[in-house]
Amino acid sequence: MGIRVQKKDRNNRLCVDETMSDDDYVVMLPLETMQRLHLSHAHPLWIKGKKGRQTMCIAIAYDHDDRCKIEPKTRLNRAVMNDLSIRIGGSVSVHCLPGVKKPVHILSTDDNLKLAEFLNNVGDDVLSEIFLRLPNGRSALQYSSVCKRWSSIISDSAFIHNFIHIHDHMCLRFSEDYYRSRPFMLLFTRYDRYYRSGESDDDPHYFEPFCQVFSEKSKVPHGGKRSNYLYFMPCTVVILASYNDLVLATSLDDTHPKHPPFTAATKNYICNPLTKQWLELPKVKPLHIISGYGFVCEPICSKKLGCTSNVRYRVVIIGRAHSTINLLDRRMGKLHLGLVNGQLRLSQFYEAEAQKYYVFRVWELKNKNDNKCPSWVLVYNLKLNCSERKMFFLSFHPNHTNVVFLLRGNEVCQYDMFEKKYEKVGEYADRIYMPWIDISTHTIFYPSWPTPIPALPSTPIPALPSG
Amino acid sequence: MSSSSTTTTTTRLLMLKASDGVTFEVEEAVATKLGAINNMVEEEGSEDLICLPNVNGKFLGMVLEWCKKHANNNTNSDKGNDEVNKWWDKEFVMDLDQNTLYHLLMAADYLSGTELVDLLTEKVASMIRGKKVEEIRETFKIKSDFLPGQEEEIRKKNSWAFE
Repeated sequence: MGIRVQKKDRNNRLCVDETMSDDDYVVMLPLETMQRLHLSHAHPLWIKGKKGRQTMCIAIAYDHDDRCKIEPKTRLNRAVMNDLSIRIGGSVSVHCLPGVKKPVHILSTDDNLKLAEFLNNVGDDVLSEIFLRLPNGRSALQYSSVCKRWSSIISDSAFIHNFIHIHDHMCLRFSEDYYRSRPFMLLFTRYDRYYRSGESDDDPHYFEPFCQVFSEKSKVPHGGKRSNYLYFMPCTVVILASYNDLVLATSLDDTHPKHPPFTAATKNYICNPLTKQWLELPKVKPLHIISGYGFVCEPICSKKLGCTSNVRYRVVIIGRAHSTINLLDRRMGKLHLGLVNGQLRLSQFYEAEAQKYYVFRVWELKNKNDNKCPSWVLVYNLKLNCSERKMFFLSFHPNHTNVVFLLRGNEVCQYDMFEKKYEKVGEYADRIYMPWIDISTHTIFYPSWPTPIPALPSTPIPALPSG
Repeated sequence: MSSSSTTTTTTRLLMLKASDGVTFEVEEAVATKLGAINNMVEEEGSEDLICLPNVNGKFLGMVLEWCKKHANNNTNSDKGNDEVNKWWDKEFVMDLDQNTLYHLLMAADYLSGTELVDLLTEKVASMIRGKKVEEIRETFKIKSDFLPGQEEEIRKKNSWAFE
């Protein structure tokens, strides 16, 4: 039973706007509204939306610019708006919580002055603890340009280690919520443009992924905008593999025009598309047939030093002679391995019975309770109707256990295996002849602090075995 | 806080003496929520009087009030208790003025009350987050003391964060 802030009149109904803040527990109110409703800073409130939905938030004041005549709005982030089933321009009502003491003071410029005094007098160690609690690396780095003191605290390597530790490595690391809320972006790229079409195209958009799927949260590191692609690289590149926020890319300048880039890649780069840092790897001897690339980059963690922001990279090029599983068998269909919420999954997708339907199976590697040996458990066994459009499996959804991405004709579809529904997310204009070779999907996950790209070590890297 | 019932006979009481001479009598389970006191108790088990020359009685009282609440709520391992603790914490930090917040944070830091430091720094972080650099300088009266070009250099080095 909430006590209305103002009885009868509709003073507590407020118009909603969106904020890019990723803090799910904050409602931002104009200062005059806070004062009108007698709310103090960080006052807890019930926010009521449509369909009887309600959620608990903390009120934070913002200064409304008086010069614009528009009615000041209540700002909520996307997640809270979804919870309340409310859109931009809709209205919510705010209610005090039962049992909360009557607010003592109203936020004023005096409070900000007090906080100013506090921030200027407090020691570096406490200030650094405060900065560790900023929502992401982007906002912390922005604050490093406030003054010399803030800059020296935030750019300190120990601070960055702690920030990564608190946001990415602590208790959350292995929980399902951690995987579910990781900001991600899926890039669907096609390789055939580079070697099948003879004409050279100077338009850089030509080499962009033809489809991108990304989570709302993945916009935060990019400042609310969509990411731009690898334009900053010294030459035109195509992605071979990805790991968290880094990609392994290869130059197109050296590739033979008749071969897909992944069979003859010699000039390779590791780059971070967000920070635009990159590193050229030592040249490798071109292999005749390459069936895959592996790319791993793990932070160096030790008990003695804790987690550090230094990372170790491993790039593995798998020649055909070394591969034991042939992932493309006509009768078996294409097998595909992927990670969903941190669990390894395997899919099989093939056309059956004279093209009447597609068989689609998904297994998950599960640990049994009694013994420690994990085993593959069949989680989905589906028959999908054939239409005139050919279908191929593209990728698992990185955080959604029921969703996969399929290619249907020239459309990329998101398919919900539970509800059996297709949703188009992208398409390409011209024909792709061999989608199982020419289309490749890469997932990018954004950690709280972008992975740095250091210089190459001075010691030479052992040569690859030929063959 | 009323003393515990006769059934719990093993409860040990500790005396905590603040800088201004004010003493607090608290149960061991409550005081050991503070890392510093926990260490002292483990090292010199026999000593029942602990002097804390760096903490004022007013703020030590508040820190102990927080410890009591958390120690009590932790004993019944109910899932709902987590929510109760969160609520209580929110109320605890809600109306703190700057002076109290500062001294409380100092006291919690000195006594290694990790959870309380977390709570208070979170509160301060919530007061600064979401503000732009210029807004931060303006509201908190912080002067940019960079030499000419230094700020541009920082922005250039981390250009992605400012785009």
